[in-house]
Amino acid sequence: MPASGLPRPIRVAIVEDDPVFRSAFAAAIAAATDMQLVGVAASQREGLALLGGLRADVLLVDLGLPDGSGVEVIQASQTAWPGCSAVVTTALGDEQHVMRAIRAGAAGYLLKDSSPGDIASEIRTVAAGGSPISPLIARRVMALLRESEPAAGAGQAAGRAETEVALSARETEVLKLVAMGYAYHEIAQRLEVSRHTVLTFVRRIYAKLEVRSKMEAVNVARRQGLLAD
Amino acid sequence: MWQGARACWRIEGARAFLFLLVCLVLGAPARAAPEPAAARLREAQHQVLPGGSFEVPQGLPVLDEARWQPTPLPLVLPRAVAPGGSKAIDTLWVRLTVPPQLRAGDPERLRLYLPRWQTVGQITIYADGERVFRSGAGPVWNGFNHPVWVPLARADSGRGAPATVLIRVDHLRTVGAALSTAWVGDVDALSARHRWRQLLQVELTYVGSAAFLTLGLLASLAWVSRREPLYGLFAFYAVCWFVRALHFHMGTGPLPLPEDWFGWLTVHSLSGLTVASMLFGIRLVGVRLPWLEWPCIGEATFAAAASLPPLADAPALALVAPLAYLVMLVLFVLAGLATVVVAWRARARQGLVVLAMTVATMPLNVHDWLLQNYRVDIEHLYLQSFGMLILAGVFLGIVLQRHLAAVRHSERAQEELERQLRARENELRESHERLRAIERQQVLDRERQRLMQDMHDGLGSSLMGALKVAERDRDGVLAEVLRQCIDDLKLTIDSLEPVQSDLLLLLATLRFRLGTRLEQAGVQLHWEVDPLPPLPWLDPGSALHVLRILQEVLTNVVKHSQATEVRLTTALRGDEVVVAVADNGIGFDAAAATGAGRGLANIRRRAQAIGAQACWLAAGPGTRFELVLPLARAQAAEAPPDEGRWSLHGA
Repeated sequence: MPASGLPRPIRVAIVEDDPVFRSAFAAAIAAATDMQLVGVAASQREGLALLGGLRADVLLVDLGLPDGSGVEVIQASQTAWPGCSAVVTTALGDEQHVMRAIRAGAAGYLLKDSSPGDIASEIRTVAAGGSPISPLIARRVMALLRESEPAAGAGQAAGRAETEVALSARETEVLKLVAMGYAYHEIAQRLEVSRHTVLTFVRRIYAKLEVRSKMEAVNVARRQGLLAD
Repeated sequence: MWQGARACWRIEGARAFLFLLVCLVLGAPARAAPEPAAARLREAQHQVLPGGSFEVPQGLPVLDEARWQPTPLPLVLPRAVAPGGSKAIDTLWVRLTVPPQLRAGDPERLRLYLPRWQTVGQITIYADGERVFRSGAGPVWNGFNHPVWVPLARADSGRGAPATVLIRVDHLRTVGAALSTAWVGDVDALSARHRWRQLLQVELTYVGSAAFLTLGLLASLAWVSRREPLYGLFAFYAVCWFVRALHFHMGTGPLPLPEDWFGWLTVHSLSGLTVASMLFGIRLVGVRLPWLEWPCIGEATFAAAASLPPLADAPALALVAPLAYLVMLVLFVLAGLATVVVAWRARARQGLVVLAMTVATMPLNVHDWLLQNYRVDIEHLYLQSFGMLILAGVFLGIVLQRHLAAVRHSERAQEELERQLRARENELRESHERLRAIERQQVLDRERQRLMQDMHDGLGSSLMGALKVAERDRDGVLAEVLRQCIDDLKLTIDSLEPVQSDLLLLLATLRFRLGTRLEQAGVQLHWEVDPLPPLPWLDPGSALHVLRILQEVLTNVVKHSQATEVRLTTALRGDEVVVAVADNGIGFDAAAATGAGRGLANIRRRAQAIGAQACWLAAGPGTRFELVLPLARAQAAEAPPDEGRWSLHGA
């Protein structure tokens, strides 16, 4: 999508310890006319400090930082920069890493070997409210959100939250098609919506997953007596 | 009126029953021609004198010849209201004449057989003035139920056969007295008749009650250990019956305890019997009728307490006994009928049987009451004991049935227990195996995660860093090699992800990884897949083979076929799954000629390793590759270890 028409550039911040990737991302952003790099951090500490500064629209975060995990940066960004889309950068896009980030509140993931053009387009997708997804992630998310039984002792609170995080029919359909290997534009054709709408479905699904993992954390804490009812 | 008619019917029924019994037992010898050596005396003479005594008479008083009056036998002096008080004693004298033809034989063989006499008092028999018989213990319990069987002449007396027999009955006037017909004759002619009556009237019921008492003691042991009311009631019933039956059997000799106590026991044992059989029946039905149970128990207890020997003397007891029996009878009838109704409503078969039998034997009790009061032929048998015998049989049957049921139940419980134990053992074993499987899986998962973490942070990051450097330095060749390395690595990682037998998910992953590469090469990918059944054999090793085969095929399409479109389809064909890759390129032969040969060998080797078939078909323009995978692998055709060179990328 040409950026010239946009009233305001997409503000991007990077938390990445590897200088090669840091500069690669920075170069890709610089090459895109509709984006603006507003902050760079090389460690968890710097990343958390970054959150006190100018608010970014998209935050690229590496999980494996030398002084801690990027997961904490993602979580902190949720409160510090409401509406900011955190994106985890990953070498392989494997389920383990991506799921951890999404459950912490990430809106998407970016493969580190992506071409500069792909990097820019992924950032645009996320900034516009969409999220990418892979078949394995789709399968995993379906399995997680289908575990319908509420945690023991959670009571009606869990029952209410349960309906909040339940997948809609369309969302389930999107996940199924992704798991079958269909591309976004093919799914959009099938559901008779735009490609962007499909991507926003994915964003909504991720949000539910995040709510659910928070809920589980509360339930676990309650079961262990860490929280009063 | 209706009730009266019903009572009459009962009496008639009892008569018929008795008649049958007597016909069966006594009828046989009676039919056998007139006995020449014995005679049944149906006529006698009698006179009644006041002022008698129960003391043993000393000698024979002189009787006024003029007062003798002829009388038929049986002879009954009914109960009478005594002007001289309840203790007035009369003496009934009865004179029998021995027929002359019977006196001709051996006098020592001559017998007097008196089937029954009945009174409260004593009986003494004289043969020609010589005393030959004196009744037993006391005036009340005097052995009345024992037939009299006496020799009429003693061997040492030296006298001949007697001409007359005098029977002296000292009795309470208020009670009256009765005497049956008398038999006189030769011992052989009469003994069978006497034996039968002795057996039926005395011995059979005595032996029966003794046997029943033994069972009762057994039941009481069961009750002591089990505390089941039914066993207790059974034991109580048996004891009561035995005590009750004693008054029919004892009295020919001295009683083991004072007469008044003995009387008290035998009278109230009947109350005990009544109450016990009623409670037994009610419990069998499985209900409780407190409004019936407690009044009956109360009445019986009260009657027993009120008539304790220190409070009432024996003759008085003998007076009130018929009344007490009557009250008991009425209560018994009411209770019986009420419980029958309840049992009928509850449809309790056993209870119904007991109660029905209890009611059915009621006419026998009525008969005995009538007999006691001389209202029926005095020669009748007391039938109560036979009724008891029947009831005892029913009780015994039921207790036995319950015992057998309990044994069967226990056996079934044992079987059930064993079955449950086996089931539990199996469950435990299965659960253990499941746990072990989970444990194994967890070990594998941890190992996989460790490996992936390592590749992600180590090899993966390094390769990507190198790629970025190559891209920055615009080293296109090196960047391409690195990209292919990264693709290989990604597929390896993907094969390690748990796809859970889902071939489609595996294909989807392949597209996710390689789709962009195809597009960049200018080949349009058409994705036409349908849901597939699970392939249970699709473990990470097999998954990697499938991924590599298709990666190789797609790479060949891109490199050698000059195709612009490629179509991936899946289909279920019998018990096989077909994954087809069709392109619109220059055709297989031509492509093979351009150097894809080594890759084909790799594909065949991998297909073989997972029990699949790989084949290439010419399809119009282009080539159609088919990978045919079995739904279930016949046996674990273990995939050979990967030999490292599985990609065409570097070729």
